[in-house]
Amino acid sequence: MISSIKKWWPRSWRQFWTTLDGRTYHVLLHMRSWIGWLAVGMMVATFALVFWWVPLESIQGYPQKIFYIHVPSAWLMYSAVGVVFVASVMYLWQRTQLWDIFARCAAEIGFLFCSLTLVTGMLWGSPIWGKPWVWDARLTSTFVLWLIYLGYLLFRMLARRDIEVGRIAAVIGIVGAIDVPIIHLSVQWWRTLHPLPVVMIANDPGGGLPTSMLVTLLVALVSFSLVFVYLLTQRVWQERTIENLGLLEAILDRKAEHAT
Amino acid sequence: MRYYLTAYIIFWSGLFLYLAWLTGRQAWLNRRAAGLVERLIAQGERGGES
Repeated sequence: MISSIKKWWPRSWRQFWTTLDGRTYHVLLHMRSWIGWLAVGMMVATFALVFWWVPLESIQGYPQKIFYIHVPSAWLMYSAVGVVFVASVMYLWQRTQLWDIFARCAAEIGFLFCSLTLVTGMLWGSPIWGKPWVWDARLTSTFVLWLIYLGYLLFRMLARRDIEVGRIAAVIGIVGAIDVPIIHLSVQWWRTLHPLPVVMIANDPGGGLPTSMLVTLLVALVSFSLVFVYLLTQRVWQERTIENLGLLEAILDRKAEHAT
Repeated sequence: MRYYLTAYIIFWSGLFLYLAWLTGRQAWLNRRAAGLVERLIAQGERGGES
């Protein structure tokens, strides 16, 4: 018993992380079509709740319903930036190609949802604030994150694929993640037009969202998370396949050269 | 109502555009893999002849 545990017990942190990331990746890969269908079902449920179940907010009316895509988009943006951060740190530590691919794919999804957060926020702000954009702390720091990710993706697109590019991109990914706590806490650190968190208010048990709105938001958060996991695993699988095909093509080219 | 509908349309457009790009990339990947399989088969046949 002890000898079998000793056999499987990782000998170093490096071995532990390699095993963990390998196994997690393979489990996710095999489950990705299920995750995809579950995400579709949950998205349908979310929008059914938003359109037909959750009541209209009495002061803002219809524009308040943008909340159910704006907040989950921001949540997904935070999650993607978190994945980029962890994958970038792991890449700098271990230099495993899989971590670099995870960071690159998560950055793409993060950029998409950062853009959607900004656009849906502007469309919500237009009728409520009277203008789509104000240079307040929350909006400006989110815009800075959007610019960092635009730079990250352009850099990855224009630069050649090698170890140096992966290393520089990992540093940009880590620097970009520093902006997330600033975005999140900006409404508390500075007086902003953007409202404070309304989901759960500390020291006020009766405050926060009404139950119907909270349930709809939680369902939306779960479905958006599933969408994120599906998109990420699908993209990572594609990038891995591209690398493997490239390798096979190079071997075939070499063989063809030797044959002639 | 106008802003609310516009926000939802833009959200779905963004998501579907990304999914369409993902599907297009998958189709390109499948074609590339099929080409590689053809090359492998051709090479195998050549190897068998010699």
